[in-house]
Amino acid sequence: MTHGIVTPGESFAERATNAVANPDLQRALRNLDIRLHTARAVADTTPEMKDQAAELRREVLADLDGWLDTLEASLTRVGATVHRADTPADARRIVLDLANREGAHTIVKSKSMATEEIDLGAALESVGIEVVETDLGEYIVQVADERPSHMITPAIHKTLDQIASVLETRADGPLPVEREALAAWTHDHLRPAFLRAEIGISGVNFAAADTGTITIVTNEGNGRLCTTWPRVHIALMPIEKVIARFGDLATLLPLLTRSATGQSLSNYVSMLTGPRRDDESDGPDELHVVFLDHNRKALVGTAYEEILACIRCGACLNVCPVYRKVSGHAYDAVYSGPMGKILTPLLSLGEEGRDLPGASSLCGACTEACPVEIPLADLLVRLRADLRAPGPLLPLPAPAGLTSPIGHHRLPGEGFAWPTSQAPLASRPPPRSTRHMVFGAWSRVWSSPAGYRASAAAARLGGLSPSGWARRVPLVKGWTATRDLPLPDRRSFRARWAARESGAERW
Amino acid sequence: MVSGVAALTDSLRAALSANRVVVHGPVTPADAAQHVVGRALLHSPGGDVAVSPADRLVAELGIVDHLKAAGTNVLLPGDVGWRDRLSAAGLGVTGCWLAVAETGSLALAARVGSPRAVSLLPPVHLCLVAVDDIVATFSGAIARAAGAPLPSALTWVGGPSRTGDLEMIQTFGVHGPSTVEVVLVA
Ligand code: SF4
Repeated sequence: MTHGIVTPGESFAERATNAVANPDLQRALRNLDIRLHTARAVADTTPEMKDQAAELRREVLADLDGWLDTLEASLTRVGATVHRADTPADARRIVLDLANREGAHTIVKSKSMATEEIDLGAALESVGIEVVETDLGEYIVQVADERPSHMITPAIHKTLDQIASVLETRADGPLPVEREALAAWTHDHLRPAFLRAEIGISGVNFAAADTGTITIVTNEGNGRLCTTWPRVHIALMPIEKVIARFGDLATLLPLLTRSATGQSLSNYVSMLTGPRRDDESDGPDELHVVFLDHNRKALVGTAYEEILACIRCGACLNVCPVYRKVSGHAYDAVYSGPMGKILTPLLSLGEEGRDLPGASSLCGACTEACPVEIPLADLLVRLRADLRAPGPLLPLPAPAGLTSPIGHHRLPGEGFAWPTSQAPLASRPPPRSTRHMVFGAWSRVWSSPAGYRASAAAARLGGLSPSGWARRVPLVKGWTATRDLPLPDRRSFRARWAARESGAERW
Repeated sequence: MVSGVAALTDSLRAALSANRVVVHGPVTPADAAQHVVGRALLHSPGGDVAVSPADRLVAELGIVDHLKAAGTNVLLPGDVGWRDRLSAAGLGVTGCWLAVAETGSLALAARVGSPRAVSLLPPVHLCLVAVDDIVATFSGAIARAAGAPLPSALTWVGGPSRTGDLEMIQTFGVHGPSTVEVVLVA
């Protein structure tokens, strides 16, 4: 990876520890609370809407190849050119060839996780092409030589004064630490790049197989500019972005924007059907759509197929207690948060991010938040088990071997499938080793409030510092090294609640 | 679901206002052109006013002629230097294919005489909306779009350009227009 290291550490555990100890990062991450409202907006969408969206995504995954063929035929019919890339290297070569042919000096990019996935920016820059990220958050991380830390809000890890100092490195003089002024500066500073760029590169939010329409959502208008002004538009599309029908946008699009930002519809939605037509004054002369596989087809028909239903809304990141504390860089991967913990090892077939599935409390908040009903917590449990054996993650297990019902196959009213995902553990013979016996006793003590309090009090008496005491419990260091239990408050939850309700204490 | 032109107009106005769009009218067709001229003189004094001449209301109301009669520099697609001048124009005037009351979205269809960038490059976008073209829901609008040949670009505009990238607080005016105004035409 060419980007600067933001949260250093060899393992997720180390990076997470460093992230938690970084006061600026923790201050910036508090802004994520705003996105908790979006989780509520998702909750407000009717279960029928989520069910319908989940169905639509599974319908496509059931015959991904077929829908891709239909999409290719439709795109070709409306005048676009389709390229198929099996690997990130293939995709980079396709784009580089097009850039070469155009003699491109400047390329403007709209935010796209897929271009991050194939590290496209670095590849283009290595042949001397100026690549300008145009989404403000992406631009900030590009200038800072970092990687996006959130798929919707790439610079969520930065405070406003940090952002101003990053942008200042590209300005003629000091920039005020003021939001409107920074937005206006960005407008003036990046506009010339849009006007001189020969190529615009975007991702794809949805591609409708029946009409060959690709849909791109942004709030800033950079997506529109990238697909309007340059002579060539290249859209990089991970293959799971295909949807069956244009009409499905009525369900999927509002669900995406609500889950992503709480908006009923994003500020700008571009539905593009082919390049500019004869005698139209703007729009690209050429539209190239690159289908990116990168081991996605290998997931189809396996227990992990469901992750391909993801519409990249970021809701699972926003609600994840781990993500909210450590932010995206601790994952050291393009995709972070719950979906990233699953997708990263899968796309690399076990070569990258092997410790990521462990970075979860399995609280199930991600599963609850997901607008397309991906059983994220179940997949995490499964992946932990499958990654225990060293080596590549092949062959991937077939869904028939699943112990838990997944996704839309869940029974109505059934939430996160705890009982089923725990079933195999419960059916194992009782543990025998010392370690297991310690765990057994420990769990019995901590299962009761009195036991927990007593052990915490003992820890206090023993002179342990309040933070980190659980790490010092002997014999189970592997488990406790990265886990801690806070000491219980001196007063009971009910006493504190009463104090706050009565106004005697602040919430 | 809201129905009836008056109720649809009210809910569109509410949704647009929530999106930070300045809403005028409804005005009568006879008054609409003068209204546009007034906004043009305000937003682009002495500068170019870019217009999408093929948009239905723009054509029917003779907006281009009215603007010219008032002495503004009208910039039309196909004019010499259109691309270069567009970015410097103070105002872009368009109609719209339809408007969605539920989401407060303006649906703009690109075609000859209705380029994509008139609503994008100038700092102010003024959009004429016929109250008869208001639909209640986004799904209704998509159903309509699906029933006809799709344009090369169908763009849904919610309001002024905005970002959440600065500490997640909504900040206006990044790449697109920082001001969007709608003139409702009865
Ligand atoms: S897994 Fe679900 S919640 Fe997470 S980004 Fe994808 S669609 Fe959104």
